Amino acid sequence: MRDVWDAAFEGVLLHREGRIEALNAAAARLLGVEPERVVGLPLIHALRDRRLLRLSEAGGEAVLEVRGRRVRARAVPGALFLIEAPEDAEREALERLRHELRTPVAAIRGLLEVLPGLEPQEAAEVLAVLRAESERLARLVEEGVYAPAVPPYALDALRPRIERVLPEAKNLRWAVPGVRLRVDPDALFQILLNLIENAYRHGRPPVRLVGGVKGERFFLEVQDRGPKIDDYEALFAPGARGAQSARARGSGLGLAIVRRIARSFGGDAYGRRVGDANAFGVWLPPELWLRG
Amino acid sequence: MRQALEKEIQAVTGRFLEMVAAVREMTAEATEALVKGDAELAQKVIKKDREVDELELAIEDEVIAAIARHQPVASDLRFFITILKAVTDLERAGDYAAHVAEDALLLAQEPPLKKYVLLPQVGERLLEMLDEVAKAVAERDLGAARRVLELDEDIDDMYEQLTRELFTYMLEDPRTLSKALTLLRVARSYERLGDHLENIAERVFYWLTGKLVS
Repeated sequence: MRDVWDAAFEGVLLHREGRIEALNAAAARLLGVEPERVVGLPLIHALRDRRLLRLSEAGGEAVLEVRGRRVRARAVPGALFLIEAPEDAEREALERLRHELRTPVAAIRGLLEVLPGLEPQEAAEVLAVLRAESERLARLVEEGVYAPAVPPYALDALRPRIERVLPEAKNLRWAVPGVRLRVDPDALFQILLNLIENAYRHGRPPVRLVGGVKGERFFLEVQDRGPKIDDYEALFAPGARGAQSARARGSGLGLAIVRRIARSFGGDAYGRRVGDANAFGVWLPPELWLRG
Repeated sequence: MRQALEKEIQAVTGRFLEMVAAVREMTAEATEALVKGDAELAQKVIKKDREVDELELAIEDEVIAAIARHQPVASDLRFFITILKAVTDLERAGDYAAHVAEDALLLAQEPPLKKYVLLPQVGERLLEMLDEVAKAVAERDLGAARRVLELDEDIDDMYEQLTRELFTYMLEDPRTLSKALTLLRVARSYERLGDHLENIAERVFYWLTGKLVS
């Protein structure tokens, strides 16, 4: 009986006279409590939420955010039933997808209409835009990766911005091929700022910003002449600090944030040893950059 | 005698958890009001601050009465002192959530400076901290108290990132100055809110172990 009770998908919490009598494993998981520490205590000890408390007292049904999850709760006298409410998350995702698709689809239709009347040179450009856009949309549909449409720009456009915020970046050597980028410039700016600042703070000069193409990916990395690091990957964990930075002030979150942003647009962040330099960088998927 | 004291401890714990829940609601709603530019919701948060203030006074009264009645010692006494001090921090945390709501009201009058990315993440992290504070007190869980302290470090780091980002906007375009300054104040309120939760966690640590956090 006990096994069945704990194997149930639905969380069940039984109570009498305002006190917790029992709760199964699913309820304990959804409420984030250890059953043995709350059984026998007043309801609020496990619920910790005034809406849930009111619901268990008055009875009824509601969808609420509980400990960061959307939970459907149903209360009858003496019992509270809880289950995760994923249908809301799905509905939200669908709504976002619809929103994301509306504008680009309109733009594609507009471009298709003007295409027959264009000179070959212009037509080729329009086709390149159409191709990139359709690839971005395919990715959005297949993987749910969010990538807002951005007019192509050169990386140099971010340079004044970076130098204004990080004066030491004026000594930064740029070695980036002439690609045009379609990644959200604010996101890329945030990434570069973290990487460049890390290199100046924890690495050794000279610091270089190096770009390169490998297959369908565009790589952008910041290199410095710091000593070899044992485990590059470990530095991407939130709160990680390198041996060089143990005494330095600051976050330990920089690389974790870089990775989170890079992954949010379908790329990733990495660290590696190149010759006598340490390199930390990101790569962009094909729909976020154009050659030449 | 012991049973009566135990019952009193449970009752005070319950009231404290109710207050944590109220501050959590305020924090969640203030963030939502900010992100959605929802002035009505922001007003609701500001009104809720009064409830939190009243809860603070009620809990203080209950704790003082309980100490007078039972003259607790050792960890029981530490519990009551912890709550007595923690409600002050919790009340201040509620004030900061209300400050965020006030600034959300200001910001709701105009289009946003940009899509808020990091701010709602800070808001979520604070909710996690509040959940851990509640767990630490309800289940006497030292691990939960420790997690609050860790989470506060994340908040401080995110605050640093946010400040830098907002300064960038200000440097680039002076027209963003007023909005960026308001957002800077929001970030500051969040950061202070986190600090008060950290204080509570340190007190809980003292209650459960009799030692100060090293």
